[in-house]
Amino acid sequence: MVESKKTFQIWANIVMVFLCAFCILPLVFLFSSSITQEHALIRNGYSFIPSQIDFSAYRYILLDSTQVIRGYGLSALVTVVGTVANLTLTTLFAYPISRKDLPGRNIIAFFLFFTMLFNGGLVPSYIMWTQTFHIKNTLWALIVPNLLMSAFNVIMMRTYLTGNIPEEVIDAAKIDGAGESRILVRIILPMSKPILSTLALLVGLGYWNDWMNGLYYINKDKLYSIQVLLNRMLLDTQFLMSSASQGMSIDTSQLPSTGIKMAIAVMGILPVLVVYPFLQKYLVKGIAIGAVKG
Amino acid sequence: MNKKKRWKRYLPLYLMLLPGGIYLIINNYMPMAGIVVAFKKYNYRKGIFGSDWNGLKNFAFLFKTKDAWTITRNTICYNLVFIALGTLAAVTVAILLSEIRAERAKKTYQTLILLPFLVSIVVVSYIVYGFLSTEFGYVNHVLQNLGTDKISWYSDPTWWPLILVLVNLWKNIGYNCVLYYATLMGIDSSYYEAAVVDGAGRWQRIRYITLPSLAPTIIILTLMAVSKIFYSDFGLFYQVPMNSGPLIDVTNTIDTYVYRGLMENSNIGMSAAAGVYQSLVGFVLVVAANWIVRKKDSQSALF
Amino acid sequence: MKRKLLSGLLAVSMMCAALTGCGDSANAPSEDAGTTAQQETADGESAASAEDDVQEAVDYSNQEAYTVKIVCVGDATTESCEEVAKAASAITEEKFNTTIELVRLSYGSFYEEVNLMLSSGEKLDLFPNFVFSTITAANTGQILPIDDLLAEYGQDILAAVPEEEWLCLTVNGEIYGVPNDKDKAEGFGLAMRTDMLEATGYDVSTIQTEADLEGLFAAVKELYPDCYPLVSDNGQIGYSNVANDTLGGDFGYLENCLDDSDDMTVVDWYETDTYAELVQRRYDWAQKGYIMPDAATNTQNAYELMATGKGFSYFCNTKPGIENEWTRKVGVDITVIELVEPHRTSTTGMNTWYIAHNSEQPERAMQVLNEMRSNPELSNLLINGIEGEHYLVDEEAGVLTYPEGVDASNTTYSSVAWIWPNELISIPWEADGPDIWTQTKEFNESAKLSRAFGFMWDNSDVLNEITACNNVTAKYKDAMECGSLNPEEALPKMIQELKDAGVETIIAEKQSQLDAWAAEQ
Repeated sequence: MVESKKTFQIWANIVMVFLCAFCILPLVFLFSSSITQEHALIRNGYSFIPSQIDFSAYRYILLDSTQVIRGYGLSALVTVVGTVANLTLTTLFAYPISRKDLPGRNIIAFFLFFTMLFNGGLVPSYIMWTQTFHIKNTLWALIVPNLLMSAFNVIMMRTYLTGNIPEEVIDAAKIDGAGESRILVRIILPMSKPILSTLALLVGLGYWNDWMNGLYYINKDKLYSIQVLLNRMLLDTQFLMSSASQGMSIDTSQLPSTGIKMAIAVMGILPVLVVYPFLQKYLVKGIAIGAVKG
Repeated sequence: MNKKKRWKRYLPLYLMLLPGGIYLIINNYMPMAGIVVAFKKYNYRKGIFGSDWNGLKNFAFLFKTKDAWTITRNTICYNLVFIALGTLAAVTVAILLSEIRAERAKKTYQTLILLPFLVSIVVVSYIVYGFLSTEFGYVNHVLQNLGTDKISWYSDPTWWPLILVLVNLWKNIGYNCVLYYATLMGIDSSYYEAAVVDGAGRWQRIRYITLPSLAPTIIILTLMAVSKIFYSDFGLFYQVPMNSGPLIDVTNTIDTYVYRGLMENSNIGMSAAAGVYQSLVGFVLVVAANWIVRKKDSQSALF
Repeated sequence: MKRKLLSGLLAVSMMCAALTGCGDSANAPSEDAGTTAQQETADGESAASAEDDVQEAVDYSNQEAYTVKIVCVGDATTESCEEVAKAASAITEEKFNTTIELVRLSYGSFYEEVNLMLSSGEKLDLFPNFVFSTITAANTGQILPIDDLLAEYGQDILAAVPEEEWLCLTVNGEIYGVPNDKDKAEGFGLAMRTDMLEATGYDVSTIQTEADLEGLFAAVKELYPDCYPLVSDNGQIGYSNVANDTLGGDFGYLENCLDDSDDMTVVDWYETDTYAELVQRRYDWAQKGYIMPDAATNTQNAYELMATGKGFSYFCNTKPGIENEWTRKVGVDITVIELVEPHRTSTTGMNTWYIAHNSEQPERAMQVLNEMRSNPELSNLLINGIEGEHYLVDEEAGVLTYPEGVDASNTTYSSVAWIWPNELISIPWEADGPDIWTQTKEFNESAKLSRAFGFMWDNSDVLNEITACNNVTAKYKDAMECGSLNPEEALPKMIQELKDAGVETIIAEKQSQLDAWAAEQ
């Protein structure tokens, strides 16, 4: 028994290491091409080990470093605020419809799910957000449209709650005279830690990675989040290189086009890789504290 | 029970629904009025509602082509494979993760497999190109060192169904896995303890405790995937194969078809029509699937 | 509200003036409208005194204040745009009491963002075109007809734009756009690395057509076995090197559009012998190693491949300064030879400015547009930015240089010259040389016109067929033109699939439009 336990652990770890390698190697590949000298890339082809190391792609991106730092700051802010707001809305919506006794819960669930099926497209959303709510070129534009609550997350949470929280627990609390909000804070939240931290992660990534809202609703460079900034940079470099006609006295051939694409991707991922392990710890704790205090 | 009393009892719950409900109405339902543009000859000056009606003309381009069959087949088949393989892989990995004892290793694995999800699909296409380019690609480089001939990856459709499935798996496995893993973390450990006391082995525990607890999540995720079965990840099917002509038979989906067709003549009505068509099919399928699920197990149904 | 009413009144009175006054004197209506404007804004102050003084320019400086919002393209910071807008406003405020708001959009998202602005009705007055089809934009109500506005406020534009160019912007009898002044003709050529060319010692003076390149490529291949004589650019070899008139795009071209003939037959280009020869030749070249093997999926720019010596040449548009331009891009000396002489069709080189349908005061937009196109100071400001910050003037040579520490990669205001209404009145950059605009004008004048010049294609009735056909060409076109597909198998397939997709319907429609147009001429 003990013996088999050990072999299982070994095998399980081996499988996971292979899987991780499968996930990570292409990213290593990405990083290595981001620091390969552009002409060497064309001469020698792509490789895991750069044939000629060159950081000019990063140097180009960091040319305006205040803008990059501002972008990171803005992204962090938007991610934190957005994630907290999103989880609040999600929990508040998911809990009632997870209650089997709530009249009309199926209709409400359908009302929710329907938003995943149909959407009016970009144009009507854009008209509404810019003309009625005037969020263009404000911080709200990075937080509110589309990202504040998604039916997918609410449904995941509801499924978790119906599956993992026995009705008896809620009934017992009611007999003790607890109100609904007290039940939510004192019982549901502590029991939902796994799903909440998971959703926090997914929502956070959603905010961190988003550039669509920035693309449509922001055209002031002080309000560019890092992804918007990197995306615009990508488009602009492509353009810069295809239009050397307009009296540019520099030699654009020195701009690393492939390197920049790759470096831009690395710049987007790296912070997550650095911050995520800390966040993971903090997140679980934070939810636990929030649940007890509330 | 007294109706008024009942209402009062549930009022707090309904109040909780309010913020989210309002957001859905504003963010999702109000713009939905824009769907009418699929039935209109859109004119910017007249606006969405003021434009003239166009009947079903905007939809015609989706069906008036010999490709209609190919793109429908591709979209559905890839999605079915993605759903089946994605679920299988994610569930397996989630269970494996939950069984691993070493906490630090576990956390590391969890982080690492999620990373591909962070890479935008455009960049994924650059990575794939780095591997598969005929001239500069790493794979051909290796093949040459092994003494084999170079393969012209982007002009040979044979491998692409496999490549696309692999790329999709690579990109999304972490995301799906995390969702299942959360459910596993929520299972009351007393079940397992009781099972151990009863002398159940690892496989039996997985078979009788873990999988049944995962079932609702699997069902819900699958139902949601079914509602999107007529949609495809545009980047995966357009950017990753580098929009290469010879591959189109195996890479053309409804989304890429619409994009290629309307690229030079952006037409809001026609693209809206495509969206309506995709949603409508998803709607019908998901309502049917949900109905079946509900008959078997009403708790697992979506609505 | 009041303002809207006023501007409405203004527009109505202007139209009346234009309608009634077109008989005897071209200046009369402009006088009328000018005085109306003055009366409205200047609180009844009598402005009728100058009535008969025909030649004097109308003074618009005391109209009510208005801001014209212009979107521009290119890499410029918000701050620099604001600065430039401020400097530009100084000019327009004095003349028209109008300020300018400049919004910079990314090149890659320009089309989408402008479409959103047009559909949402948010403020937008003027926007440049390099992706829109004028006829579609006009028919879907994105832009305003401007005949009356031109007559009133666009005198300088009217004086400068040649008659035939208006034809290319006229939809249902009304003018919808103002053409930019820039290089307007298009010739095709081959850009080659001079060092390699010289090493082969090949005499390029014998080369007249694309087919003639074979010998040169063979010579290059022999001397440089690792180099591909012809490379692709981002997965395309997008040059056919023949003088076709695409008749506004989509499907159905006019072959040999420069010849002295009156043949107006629209043909399916992919079915022609010329096309068959072209793809067969490219395929042979690919087989012989003259074209790189994955040309159709390569993600590099052509000049990057040339810079590393992987490639020897790529096709290009010929125009004044092209060798210079390519030399800068590639980083080594480049020679360009001509394969197709400069020519013009309705769509070549046609970049346009439009007045958005949601402009609150189109007449103010036109005043500013007229100024942008005719005032060298304003044009230079909008194109090149602020003196001392974005450029320095070398008075002696008459060219611009970068200030110390500034170059194309870090300048905060690099817009795209040819997208502005008139680059030819701005100061040229040192790299292009002081004579570049003179050369450009000569180049434009030397160009032959297609015999269908002025024809505009309205594809709205055959969009379904076009969608299907685009999907067919996506499958074969680039691959075949890069020599990656054997045309013996692929070409008949493509032709058949295009027929199935309805290409004949498109061509018939185009033919009937072209015939109707030709009958009018």
